[in-house]
Amino acid sequence: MALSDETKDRINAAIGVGKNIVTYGWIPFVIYVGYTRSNPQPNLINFGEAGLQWNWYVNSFVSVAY
Amino acid sequence: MAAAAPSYPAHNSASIPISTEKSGHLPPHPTSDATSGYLSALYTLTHPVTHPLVNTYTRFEKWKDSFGLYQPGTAENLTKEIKQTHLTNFLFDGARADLTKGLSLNPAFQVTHSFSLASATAPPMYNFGAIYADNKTFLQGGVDHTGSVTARANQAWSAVDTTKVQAQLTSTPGHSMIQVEHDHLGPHYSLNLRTINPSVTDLTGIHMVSFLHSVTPRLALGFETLIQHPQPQILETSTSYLAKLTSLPAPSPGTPIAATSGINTGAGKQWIATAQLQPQGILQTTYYQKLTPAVDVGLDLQAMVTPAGPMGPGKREATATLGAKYEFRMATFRGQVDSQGKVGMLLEQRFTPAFAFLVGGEIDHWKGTSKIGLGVMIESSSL
Repeated sequence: MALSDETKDRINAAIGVGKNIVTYGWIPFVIYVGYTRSNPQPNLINFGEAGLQWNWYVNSFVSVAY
Repeated sequence: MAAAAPSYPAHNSASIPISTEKSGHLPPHPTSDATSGYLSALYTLTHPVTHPLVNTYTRFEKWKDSFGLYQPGTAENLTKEIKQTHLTNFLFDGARADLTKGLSLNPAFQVTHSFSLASATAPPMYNFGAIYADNKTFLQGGVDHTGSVTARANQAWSAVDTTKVQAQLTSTPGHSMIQVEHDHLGPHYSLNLRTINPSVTDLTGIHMVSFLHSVTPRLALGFETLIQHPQPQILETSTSYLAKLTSLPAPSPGTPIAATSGINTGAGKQWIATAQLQPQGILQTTYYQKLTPAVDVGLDLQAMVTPAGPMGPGKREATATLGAKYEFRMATFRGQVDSQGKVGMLLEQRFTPAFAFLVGGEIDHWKGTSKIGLGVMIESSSL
């Protein structure tokens, strides 16, 4: 292949940047896709395991406040 | 010019939108805009060449149909039934807990927290995972406590074409892995192309081609070629040969016997026998039989024969593994014994639909070692 070393370095650098983006962005992306396409759409506060307690805590606080 | 529309019965011409199809062997769309005019011209131009080709292909496929050939399943899933029956892929040691939160059923969306500790071989581990799946797309992401990310994405383009990507991404250089594969399921064959860690600049990497074709209603033959290309100067290929014999021909060409639903719902005592010959002198044969709808039995025989050579003296080794799986209403039990003196079991007991308890163990009678695993799986749902 007639690629100069400079081009190869640029391609490899671009791949490195892309790899970093995927590494940090993949799980947020999966959660975003799942969250936006879920039916029914889940409550954000209810998200995850700790969310159960959070929800209970927030609800009880709200009911006390009003 | 309005060309006569030929009928191609075997082709899924109805499902493909015309704008994406450039090969031109589809009849032009009735709307007379510029694109359709262009397509019509292209169609007329290529018709003398493509029509005989498509026609011959269609007739060839029909001729193969007349032998009762079926879709044999992918080469990767050749021993899928036995892997599901045997304990090897399910056994763990130490303690583990999986907490799953289902957020949506259709499309499926769930997040999982997994913990494992007290394993003799692996350090304590925490893993967070998210899964999204609908009819065409499957996305999975996982991150463990060291920051290593696993990613998996499958996209089904049609009923016969699926592209899969999986990756393992770490910050340590040289430990990341990416694999891209494409599955094509023809009416009587399956083709899989796969590449691991491909480099765009010099085309190095590990590439694989596997092909499985049904030759009689019960027998499928195939090969798997591994192309190792770690450096531009080095190129090594090795080929393994695959064979799969099934008890009954598939009920109809549309329902492959390889699909687990096909064989699991089958009434008779169906069986599958496979053989794989690998180039280093390794022969793996498996036999899987469904005794009753709830009991599966699998036998696996692995023989390795290496002739004496520059690498050392010749070796002759063989291992036989016999395993059984029982499915009860709320539990699954797997038991296994092999010729290396190992006896193992795993019980997965579901107390409620949301709570399962796992206990498993294995004793190696020859080495005098053993391992035991305990686990819980808790599911909660926001629905």
